[in-house]
Amino acid sequence: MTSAPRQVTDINGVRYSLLRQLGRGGQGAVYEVDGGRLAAKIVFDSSAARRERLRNQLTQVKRLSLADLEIARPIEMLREPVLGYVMELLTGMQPLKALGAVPKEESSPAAWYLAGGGLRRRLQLLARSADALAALHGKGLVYSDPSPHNIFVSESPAATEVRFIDADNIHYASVAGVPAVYTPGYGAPELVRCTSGVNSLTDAHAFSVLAFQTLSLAHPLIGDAVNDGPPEREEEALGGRLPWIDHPTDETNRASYGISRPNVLSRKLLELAERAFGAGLRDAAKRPGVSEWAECLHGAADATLSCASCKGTYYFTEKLCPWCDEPRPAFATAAFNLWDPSVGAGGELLQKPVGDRRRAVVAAVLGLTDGETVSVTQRLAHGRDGAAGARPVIELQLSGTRLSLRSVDGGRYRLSSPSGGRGAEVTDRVKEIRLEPGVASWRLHLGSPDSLHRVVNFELRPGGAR
Amino acid sequence: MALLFKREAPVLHFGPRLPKDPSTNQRMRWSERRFVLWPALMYRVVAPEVRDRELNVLQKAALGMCRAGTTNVQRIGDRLHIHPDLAALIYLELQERGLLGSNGLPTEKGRELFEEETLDARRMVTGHVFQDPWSGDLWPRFVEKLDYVELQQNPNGFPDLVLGSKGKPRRERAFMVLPGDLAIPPAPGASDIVRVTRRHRSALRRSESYESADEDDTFAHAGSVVLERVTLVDDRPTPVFVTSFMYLPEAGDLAGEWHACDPFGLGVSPTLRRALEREMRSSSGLRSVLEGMIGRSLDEQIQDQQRWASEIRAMAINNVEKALSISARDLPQYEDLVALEYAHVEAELLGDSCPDHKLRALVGDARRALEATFGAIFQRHPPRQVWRRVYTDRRPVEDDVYCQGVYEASAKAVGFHVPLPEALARVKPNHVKAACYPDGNWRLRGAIIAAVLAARDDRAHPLRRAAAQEPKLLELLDGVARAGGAVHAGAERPSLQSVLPVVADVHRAVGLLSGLGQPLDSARI
Repeated sequence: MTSAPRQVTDINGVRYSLLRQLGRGGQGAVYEVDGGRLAAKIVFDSSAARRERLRNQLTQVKRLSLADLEIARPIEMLREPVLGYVMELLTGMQPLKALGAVPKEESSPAAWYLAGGGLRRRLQLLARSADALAALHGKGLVYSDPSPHNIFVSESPAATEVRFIDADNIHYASVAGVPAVYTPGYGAPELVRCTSGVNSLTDAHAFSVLAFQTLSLAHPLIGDAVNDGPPEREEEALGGRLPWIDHPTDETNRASYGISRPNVLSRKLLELAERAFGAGLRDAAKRPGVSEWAECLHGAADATLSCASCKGTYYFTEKLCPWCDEPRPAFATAAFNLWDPSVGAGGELLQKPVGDRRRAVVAAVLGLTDGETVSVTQRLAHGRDGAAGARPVIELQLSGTRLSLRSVDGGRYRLSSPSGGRGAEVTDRVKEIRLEPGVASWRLHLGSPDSLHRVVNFELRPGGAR
Repeated sequence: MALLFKREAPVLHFGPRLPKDPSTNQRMRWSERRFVLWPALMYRVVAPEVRDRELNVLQKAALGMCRAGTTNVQRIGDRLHIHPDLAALIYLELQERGLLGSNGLPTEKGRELFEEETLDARRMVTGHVFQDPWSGDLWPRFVEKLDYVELQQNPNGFPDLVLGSKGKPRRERAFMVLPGDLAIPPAPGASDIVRVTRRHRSALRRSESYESADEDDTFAHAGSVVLERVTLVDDRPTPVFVTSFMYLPEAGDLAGEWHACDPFGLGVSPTLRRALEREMRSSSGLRSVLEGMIGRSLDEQIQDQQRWASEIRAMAINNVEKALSISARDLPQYEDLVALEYAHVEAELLGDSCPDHKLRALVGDARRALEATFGAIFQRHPPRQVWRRVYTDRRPVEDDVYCQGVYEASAKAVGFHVPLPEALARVKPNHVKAACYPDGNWRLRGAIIAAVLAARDDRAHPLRRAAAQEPKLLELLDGVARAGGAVHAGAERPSLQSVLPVVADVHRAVGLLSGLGQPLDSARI
């Protein structure tokens, strides 16, 4: 069967009227269901054995506990003779591939990059995708085919929602020899060489490629030598037999395209890329896992500022905006440290030795641009990960030297003066504190005073000079 | 006994929204709103399909007569007891809509529509009706498709509704109204179900409120629906929550009233508002949500007010300094002048909507600006004991004519036009004496006369320069004093048009007396 019926029925007897076709791939097609909230994926496969295998696979996936993951999972299986399932309709979303390649008709790649939300939004979308994959791996499952086609992200540049589609890709780890499904360009070298089945490390490779590509607009394995060479060279590159494009010593596969890496990849992200496409290309065990990517991507997104001139975002370590050369304005940082009241008075701020000195333990650092509202999320406040970590707890807004704080989760949070002698509270009404360069600020406590929790120390920092 | 409603009950969202403004046909807007999750008992039923009617009663009757072969408009009119012209008009309407053919018989479309519009032929569908858990009354709504909405529980117990698209979700804090221990009310009967489907249909037609008069409500019975066909699918109801919100209208409802939306997207719902008020008596949480909404609105208005005040003050300062130059800042009465100009700018901006108390305050400010101006003059040119001219020893002269003569002689010597206005000429000597002492210049007329008496012997007195420029200045000053007296409590209601000339006179007088710059633009020349 290659054409969809106008109406399908699920195994409970509920009928769904199919409207327009939303997408079509090698295996089947996705249709909008009348009502505007659901979609139906219908698989076209004439082989009875494959249909049976797929039906079992889908039934198994539907039974998995995926409710807390950002995956468009099957809601109901469709009744015979149709093979497929009903899932949530991803309204207002588009494939991640829309952010990974400059359209041919685009005259200004930089303007296009910024129109898609710029660096910070790409980092946030990738971080949330990595969170979802890491959570899946935490359940002992693998997605099998992470690619920019299978990850849907918000269409609106102001939003950062993520959904993995094609839940039928989800498997337990497979062994070598079983045909693996992957998107060309994103398959791990061992999958391309058919020496391994899918596992969390093949997912990690695919994710590393799409993260690098979405940020830098360059495929990490496709340099000029591959682009200009015969088709077999691409096979060699994707099979891990050529150096990656930013190999520190081997320049045979350099790429003349893409965005300058230090502008879009933080120091930690560059290290991850080096591990993923250097040693990790040949030895899967040396690859960084997706949870490591998630942590570094979140950290990189936190460390960005907005440019008042071009509205682009860039790392606060830059002195000039890399998109328009506007000098970096004065900004503030919110350092999330650890506070342990059990240590005793004076020693609550946990420290660790760094060289011959001791420094406060830093769980995260958030950049605050003048005039921009930034949320302290559950991830920053309490170290929570996954979708729950994205929930805002407190909103911060820097205006010159004044910082406004407002609780948005209904909680009340304690502020203590630098000496600890005075206290105040952050509630759902705006509270302002003054920041001065080089002077300790009020501390924001994000937990109960008698248990270990995170505290935020704010610091006003000078702008960059041209 | 287990509670009927639990926090985990499904939440249905049918898109509550504000009604349309009949004058603009645009949907009204809210300035503040708070979502509530309202409990309801949901029954799955088989009932007549809810559709908007396409034919009115007369059209349906005329179409039915044509269907029976009566196609003559005269005979249709006779049978329906309506004028033949009206019958002809209806006949024409039906033809224009393609429901009647040229032979006067219904077309296929006309026959189908006639059958659909006849209740007993209406399609029966499976849908849902909702029952109030407290009273057992059915809501006048019939819904075929259920729209569930995602709910996220917050650590503080308040749930967030997740609205918007998947790509750009919008989280709205909501208050869940959890009824206490309630017994399940009796299940609705077939006639109740038919009635709510009819009321839903008429509400759809109005799309405003289901509580206004409704022609279907006049038929309490089930009409021509075969009640045996109307059935409950479920024996027991499903406890659900439906979303709605309380709101303050954006257009500034002068009564400061809040409203509640119909949970089914059909405008405003006074019934839900009454029910919310009832629940607030026992739910402090729900009450504080409402108070938070109103309080937040007030907070925002205060911020707007502060912004408005600072902008008006900037404009007032600019006006004063434009007229009197930047040196006006050195005048002791500078703040009084700014206060007058502030009240003036504000009154002009408010126009006809300027409230009475502001107009009265404006006249008061005008008078105070003049009193402060004389106070400033007295600081540089003290009147000393000029009051003695109308005193004998320690007693005031009681001869009004004598006093008037003294005043007018001095005024004439200074260069003012005489005779003086009557009120000035009759100023009591003790008022003149009071004005000669510090803090005594609060009687404006007394201060004017004291200054006139002092100016007689002081060639550098500002009144002399002012008199040279405007010999009728004393009449102008008296006019301000008179206006100030006229706005006292119980006096006639002031109008903006009557007050503005007074302000202009003060501007002119201050310009003349201070010797700075030109009078303000608004002054009468």
